[in-house]
Amino acid sequence: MRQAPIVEAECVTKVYPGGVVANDCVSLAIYSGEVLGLLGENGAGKTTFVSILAGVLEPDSGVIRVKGRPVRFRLPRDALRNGIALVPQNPMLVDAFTVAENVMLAARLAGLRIGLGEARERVRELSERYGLLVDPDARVWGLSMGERQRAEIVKALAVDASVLLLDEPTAHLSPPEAEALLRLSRRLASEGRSVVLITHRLREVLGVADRIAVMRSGRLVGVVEASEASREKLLEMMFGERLAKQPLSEPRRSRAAAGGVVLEVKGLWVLGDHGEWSVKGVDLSIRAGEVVGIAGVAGNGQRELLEALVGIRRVARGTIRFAGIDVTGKGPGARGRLGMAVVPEQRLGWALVPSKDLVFNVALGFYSSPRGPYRGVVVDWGGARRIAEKIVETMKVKTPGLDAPVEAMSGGNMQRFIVGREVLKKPRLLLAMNPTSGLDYAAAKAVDKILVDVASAGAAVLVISEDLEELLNVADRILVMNKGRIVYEAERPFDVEKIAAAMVEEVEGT
Amino acid sequence: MKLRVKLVERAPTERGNPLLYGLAGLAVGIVVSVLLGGLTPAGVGGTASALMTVFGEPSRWLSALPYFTAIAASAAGLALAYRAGFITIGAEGQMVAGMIVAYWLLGRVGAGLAAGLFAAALAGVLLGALVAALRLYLLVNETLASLMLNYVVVSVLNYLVGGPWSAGGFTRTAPLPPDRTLGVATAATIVLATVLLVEAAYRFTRLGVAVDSVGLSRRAAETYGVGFHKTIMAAAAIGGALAGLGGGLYLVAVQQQLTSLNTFQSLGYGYMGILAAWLAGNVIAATLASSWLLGLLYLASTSLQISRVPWSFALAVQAIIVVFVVSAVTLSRYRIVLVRESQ
Repeated sequence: MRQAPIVEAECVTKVYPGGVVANDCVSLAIYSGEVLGLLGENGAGKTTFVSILAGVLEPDSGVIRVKGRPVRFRLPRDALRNGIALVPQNPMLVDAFTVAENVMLAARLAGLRIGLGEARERVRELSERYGLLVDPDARVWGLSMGERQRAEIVKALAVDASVLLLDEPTAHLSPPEAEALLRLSRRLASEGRSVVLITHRLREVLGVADRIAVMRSGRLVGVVEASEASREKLLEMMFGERLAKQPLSEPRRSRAAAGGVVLEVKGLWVLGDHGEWSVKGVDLSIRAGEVVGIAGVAGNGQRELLEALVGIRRVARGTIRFAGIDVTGKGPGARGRLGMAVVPEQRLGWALVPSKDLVFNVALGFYSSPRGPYRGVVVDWGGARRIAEKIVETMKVKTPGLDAPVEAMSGGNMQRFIVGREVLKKPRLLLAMNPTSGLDYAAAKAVDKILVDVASAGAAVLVISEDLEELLNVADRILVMNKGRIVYEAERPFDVEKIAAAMVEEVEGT
Repeated sequence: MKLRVKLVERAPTERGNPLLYGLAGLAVGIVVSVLLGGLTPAGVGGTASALMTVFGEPSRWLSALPYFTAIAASAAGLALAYRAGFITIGAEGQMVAGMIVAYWLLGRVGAGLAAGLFAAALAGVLLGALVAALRLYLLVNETLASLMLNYVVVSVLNYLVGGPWSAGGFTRTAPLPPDRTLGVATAATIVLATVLLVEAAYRFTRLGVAVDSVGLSRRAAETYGVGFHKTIMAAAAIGGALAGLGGGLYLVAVQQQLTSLNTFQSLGYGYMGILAAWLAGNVIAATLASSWLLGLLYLASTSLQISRVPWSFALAVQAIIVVFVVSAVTLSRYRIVLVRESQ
């Protein structure tokens, strides 16, 4: 017999402008001291639901109760004051502030008046107690996604939230980091807090949750006790009948007959945002038809390496040759014209202009591609529209329309659109960072297959990912990056233990 | 049970026509101004008559052409720069620089009109590019740099008209020769055509993709090969060219000579261009409408003062009408709904 729920949603409905029903009469209870897994494919309405619980969105109808009392949240502040904190999928911290300053800001929103000194102390204490490794004085703009995620969790704990809503918390974390976070969820629950864990990873909810709720197309399909749930049952709840029709896993082909060298990096040294060396003497070469994966814990120079390869971060030493040409001093435009395509780490603002529609974002993505919808300086908007239509069709992107802002789409659909756009360039080299981050199981598999297909069509593919499982699936070779260096290189068949060890081992000379 | 008014954002495809909403806002603004006019010596009748003289008689609308010419030229360029995230307020100085250079060529060197206007635009380009270069290479804030340059240019003008170019010891120059002047309608037509040309370049060439992506998401723009420096420089230079040309046209069509200016107020049209760009939501072609509206408001305030309305109220009427137009245009993106709340 359970006690009364701490938070209860009753028939919560939310319809977005354009008529997309994100939540259709969702009723769900959250109890103290439990980890509640919330599963669902992209666009199922999970993020909308927790955003409503956290006061980020207002429902169109329905009731939220906290400890049995009906509440109305107009702002996140109202939810914080009721002990509910959201750790969003894309961390929402003030970039120019330090972690401690962000905590102080959140605390004030939650009605706690604490000074900077106390905020720093809380960050330090929580970081140590829960092993979160967050520096209170680090400025947010210089943190990796994984570090930002941990800073968000510290922020929620610092305001003493009793209900933590973790939206895809492991999306940007390496396996050891993800494991640590899942252990943390259990520990928080054992201390009496409630943790709602949104994830696409069945293994995670099966391993850590007490109960598992599944959403599909805006509706709650059901809630099961984790002890009674199985992988098959959850997949069936998530995907319904489609599951039987769709093969979800495809073994990676054996190493393809690789062609000529497409990308060759020699002795690359790159400075980070704080003037420290982030990439230290990296050598790398990728052949046509080959998928090379770079594994590593977040914040070990992967982002800086990608930026140097794209041409938006200056190379301090070393050379980058692409398609036989030294492009070290050239910008992204020149590299794009040579056939480089990019799937960046973050969708909004890095890959897409959020407030612009799909057609505009096609024109931007193809700006320097030889296959772009341009006749000289003139934009062929009709051509851009046709490309957008093709991406939506082939990638099964759910969108309110080609003229709707891309920010109106769910994260997963944005990612499908970005991947589809970059693939349509028929690139010579595809650079992708965390390309399946935030995607559901089926969508992630589809993207992985596309990466392999692009390589099979003769392109060189570099995948930088914090999801080791993904790299094991798609890569012909895996390089492990640790403290800015490539510390280990493996070919198929991979020795996963050695790769994982190389990711977390201390590197000498750092 | 409590009733609450709520604004619900419409989907992009369901939004109202901003022009119709703007016109409705203008009508409401005029009605409210007339009602408030009852508090002044002119009364409701006097205020209504003064405003109707300007807004109610289409024949008077053309009287706003001189102001429209100057405001629209600066507003369109500012709208383009603002779309790129380049917050300059230098159109005023660029206009005055255009006037100085055009006067020098037309009034003193004896060059032809086309050369004078081209040089005026070029002066604007150079000033715009200077501000952009300061921002891009020395990280100088463009808003402050452009404002300071405005003062510098007006000071140069005042030196010239009070010194080497002074006519008869007054702080003004001799008028331009009649064959170096243009009719106001011609000048306004040139501005109209130029603004539409820039709108077309924005809408149909790479310039628009570059400007919007740099202004909204610099990181995404750079990732896919849009040059940040190149885009800012282009937006600043095009804006400068428009303002400089506007200054040249204002000189040959309206003022036809140079006179000294108050350093801080200057001509004022470059500053009004900021408001016009903002009213137009930085839509380049829409600055034509907002500039005309501001030109009419300028006329209206003059008309009100003649009708015994205090100067301060004449200014307030401008503000009231602008507020109603902006509110109405903003409202075109929302639906007003009444929500019943149970406590």
